[in-house]
Amino acid sequence: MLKTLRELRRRGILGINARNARYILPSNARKDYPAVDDKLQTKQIAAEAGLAVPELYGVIRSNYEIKRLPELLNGRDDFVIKPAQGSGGDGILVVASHSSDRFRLVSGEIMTLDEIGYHVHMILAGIYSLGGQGDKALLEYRVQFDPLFEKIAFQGVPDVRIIVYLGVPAMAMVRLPTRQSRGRANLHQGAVGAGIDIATGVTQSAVCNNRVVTEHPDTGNPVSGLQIPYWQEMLMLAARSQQLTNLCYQGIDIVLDRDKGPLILELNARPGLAIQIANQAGLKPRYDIIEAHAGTHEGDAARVAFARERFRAGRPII
Amino acid sequence: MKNTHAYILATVLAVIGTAIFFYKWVGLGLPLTPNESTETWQIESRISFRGRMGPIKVTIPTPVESGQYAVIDQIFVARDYGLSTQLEGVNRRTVFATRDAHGDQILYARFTVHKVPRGRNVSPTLESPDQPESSLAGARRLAAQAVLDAAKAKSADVTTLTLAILERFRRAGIDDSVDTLLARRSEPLEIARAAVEVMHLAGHPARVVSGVRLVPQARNVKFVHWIEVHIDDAWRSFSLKSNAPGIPEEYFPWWRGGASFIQSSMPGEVEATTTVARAAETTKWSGLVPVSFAERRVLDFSLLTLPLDTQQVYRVILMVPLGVLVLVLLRNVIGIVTFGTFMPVLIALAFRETTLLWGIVLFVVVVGAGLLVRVYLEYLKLLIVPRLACVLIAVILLMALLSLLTNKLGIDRGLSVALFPLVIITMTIERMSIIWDENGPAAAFKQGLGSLAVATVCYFAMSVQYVEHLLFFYPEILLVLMAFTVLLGRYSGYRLTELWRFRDLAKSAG
Repeated sequence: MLKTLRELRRRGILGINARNARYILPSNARKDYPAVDDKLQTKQIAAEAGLAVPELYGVIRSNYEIKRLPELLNGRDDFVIKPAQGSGGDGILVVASHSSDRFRLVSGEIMTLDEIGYHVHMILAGIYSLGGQGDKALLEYRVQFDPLFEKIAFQGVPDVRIIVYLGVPAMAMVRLPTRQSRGRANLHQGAVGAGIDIATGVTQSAVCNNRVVTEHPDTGNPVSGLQIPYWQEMLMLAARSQQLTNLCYQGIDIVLDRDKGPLILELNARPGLAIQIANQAGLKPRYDIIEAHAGTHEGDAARVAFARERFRAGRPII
Repeated sequence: MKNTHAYILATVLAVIGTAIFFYKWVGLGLPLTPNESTETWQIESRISFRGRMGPIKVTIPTPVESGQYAVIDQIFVARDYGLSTQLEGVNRRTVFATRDAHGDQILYARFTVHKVPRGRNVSPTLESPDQPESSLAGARRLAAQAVLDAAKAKSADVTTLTLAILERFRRAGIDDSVDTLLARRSEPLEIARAAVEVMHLAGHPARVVSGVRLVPQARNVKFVHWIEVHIDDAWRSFSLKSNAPGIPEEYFPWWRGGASFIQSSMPGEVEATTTVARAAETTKWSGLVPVSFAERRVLDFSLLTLPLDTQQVYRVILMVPLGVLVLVLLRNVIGIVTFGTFMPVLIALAFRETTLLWGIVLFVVVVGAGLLVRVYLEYLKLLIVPRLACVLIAVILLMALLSLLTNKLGIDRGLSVALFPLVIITMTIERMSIIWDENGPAAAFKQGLGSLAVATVCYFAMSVQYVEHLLFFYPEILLVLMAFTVLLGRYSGYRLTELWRFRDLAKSAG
């Protein structure tokens, strides 16, 4: 056990206490949290800054508005319903197609309009939300994921998570839904996370249930060696995100839409630590470098260039 | 910067806490350990009633030195009341009187009782009591005569006669004459009164004695009753339950004659609850020895000056910070996941009353059955607040049912299920079923077991008698505990479970 401890420390693996005490609490002001905890606000802020987000079809704020669901859909066949303040991907329904009363989810499950209404009610009651207060339900565009991911994602939409510290992208991974995660891209629910080399945008090793894996558990296809398209654009979005929210430490989730390119899905003030297993690297050495060079880079592009130059996979951090 | 600040704060807290602790320990000689051999008790009655406009008088018996117990101190807390003593037969009664009582009235009477080694079953009398005359008439007199005749046949002297009479009273429900005498009431006080009547009929002086059992700690105690018979120039005690003369050692006689404890000008409206606690302090702290000014100041600020029932509440409350500290350690240093932040500590508090094993069994049964109800309600698609209310009602029904069942089976531990924090249990059920839905039964059980394990550890930490005593006498130790939590708040090392979580990273480095 002591050996493990020493080894983790040597590699600069960040634990949850250190993440909270040294990074999140000092860098992130409580007042800035609503901007990331409420996905509706995130969407509005991002849209104001001219960044691409999945299109919002409508917001349901109270129970009597549930009746307006068909009207809000306005003839669209597929859509996503999610709680504005959800955490860990809970409470998200992805509808692939529907007739007037029957809704087919991507998982193949069929729900009636009443059942959808009940689900929205649950969202409004705050059952999926941080802190359990009342919430809003968002109705939005269902991302058409890039065929690139077809072989290594099960049902859901993969997304790219980049952790940004002081405006510099520090570490990245692509999160691939599995059968166990029931189509959701959250690692703690069993999704696969494949580390991405910041320098090149190529996937490296991967993690599933906190263990290192090399293949997708459902499709059996290797998850490494994949070039993520629009990599530079994604890093630019990440570098930009700090100005949006004022949070110095955050995770940004980007989805790649077949037609619309990278879209900001959400921001996260408390990004998880499993990304370290996916990348087989510790976060702390990278944060140390970022801190050492804090304020020396002018503009997003400079910070991205700095990250691409320094954070190369398989190369020790200098 | 933040760390330095936290370290300074922790140091200051710890230094203040330890300094006060050492002053009280070394300087004033407060005991570090609960002194089990102290033969001093405090008996406290809390008298409450709702005053109506106008004068009121309430009296309670005043214990006097008797048998093996000496009353070394008495304190009355009764603002706006005049206190006086009134003699009533062999008893002294304390009289609380006021001209104008309105609103809720609470009076306290606290007696400190010290045990002196002396023969316990005999109270000598200076003068012989008068030959008693029986006041019985009619059917009751006949019944008493029948009891007396039957007992006489089985006895040789006054002592054996008394024992034989008491023996017959234990046959209430079988013996018709006993039932007539008791008028179908079989409370100890009624039995004692009837036995005294029979003794009077036989021409022997006898009287009812009422008192309390001096146990280490008891709230809301019931009075015990026994009788005294005048034999060979001394009053000798007889317990109602035993076949031999004498009473158990812990019986403390409070008043004699079988009158009720409270007598007032508003009969039936005045309530009294009595608390007994073994005084753990040394003689200095029990007021036997004069103390210096400084000592008096500290004593005045001590929790020992609170009413006894409040003291006992604080004995429990002061243990909560310890449980919370253990919880912080288990969550932030070990990394065990639990439902709700403080839920395990509250459950552990309930365990203190139920005992651990029963607590776990009852908890599992209530939560398990609650989960079944919740699964059924899930199917009905109820709105969330009504659903929570529904689960809460189901939990209360379940608990009542469990209490009834275990009571019928004669397992009195089952009754303590009522001490579980209802709302916490309901929220646990709700959280558990959501985690079940979202992350599968494995995750739900993992967190459920984690919570129970943490509750168990907290329970053990919170049930150390020694620590309870220490925290009660030295509440400043809480400052030291606070210092620890401040330090833990800046702990940024790995959690034990993270060594497991990141094990692949340590390995692959090779």
